[in-house]
Amino acid sequence: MILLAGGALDPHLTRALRRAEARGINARGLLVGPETWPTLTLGVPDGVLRLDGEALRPTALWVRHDVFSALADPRPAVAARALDWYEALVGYAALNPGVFVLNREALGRRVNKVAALGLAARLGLRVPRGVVTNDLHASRAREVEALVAKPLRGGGLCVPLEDALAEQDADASAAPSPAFVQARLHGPELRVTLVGERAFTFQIHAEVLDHRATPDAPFERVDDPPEAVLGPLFALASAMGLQLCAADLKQDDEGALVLLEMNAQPMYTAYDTACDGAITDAILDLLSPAA
Amino acid sequence: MAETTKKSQAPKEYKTMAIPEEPGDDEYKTMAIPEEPGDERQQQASKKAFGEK
Repeated sequence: MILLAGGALDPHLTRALRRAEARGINARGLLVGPETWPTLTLGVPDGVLRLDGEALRPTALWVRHDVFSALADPRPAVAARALDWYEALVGYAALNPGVFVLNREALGRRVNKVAALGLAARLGLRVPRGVVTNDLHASRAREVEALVAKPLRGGGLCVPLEDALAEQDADASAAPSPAFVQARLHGPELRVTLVGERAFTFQIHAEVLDHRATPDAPFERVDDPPEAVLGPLFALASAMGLQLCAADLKQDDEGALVLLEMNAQPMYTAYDTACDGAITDAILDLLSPAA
Repeated sequence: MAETTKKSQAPKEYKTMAIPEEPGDDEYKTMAIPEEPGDERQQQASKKAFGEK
């Protein structure tokens, strides 16, 4: 039996559970909803998991930190609840080293984007040239048209440097927060979702600098990047302890592919639909190799 | 090459990263008050790269 755990509103988990049922894979959901949640008891330190009174002995676990409940309900308690369940499942994974856990080595670890880019560069990937700074004086003196600014933490949009500077007090020399200031890259953007040894590459055609600002931007499945890029992407995933992740890439002025970031808990359901559920199937293949 | 596919309009089709894709990122997002994923993207769009006082 494989255990899929996370938020009841997370479509990645619910579609995987439906697909598992269709394929005859014995899968169990541990889904925490807005109003309902299961009864869990985790023995410490024996690691025995009881769910709704039943002792579970899964052969594999996929746990996703639920971000969807907090999108639907902004109360801090909702985000805290999601984190509590995630922590409990990360604890279960730690107490059960014999269970295959997707992204086991990365669970409970936040990815520092600066460190990840440094690691990527050491593995042979091109990364955006730039700095992390809050020096507004120096940033204003640079060739702002060729540069972008991006928050250090996940979720924020990449914007032209001049726009980011315009948001700050004109007479301020230092911004409240440091941010990435990087060379501006060119589209279309590539999204490479890695599942085990498989890759699913999509090209996104967006008019704007950051395609997330235009969620309806068209996309298409394309050939995977050349081995000179794909190989280091897999190496980076391995070094970060990720069997499931997604890389974002754009092109520099020389036309070379540049890694923007590697995402440890990717959102991919639109891509999955576009390739007839192949991403979900690849994940299930990892979790249940005999299926 | 596959035929160009328009992103589904279904409400639970995610292809973007404006929602957190790193476990733990959500810890820092409780001040964002989105009601739908689309609203979340707007929230992120207004986020200042260099922070706020």
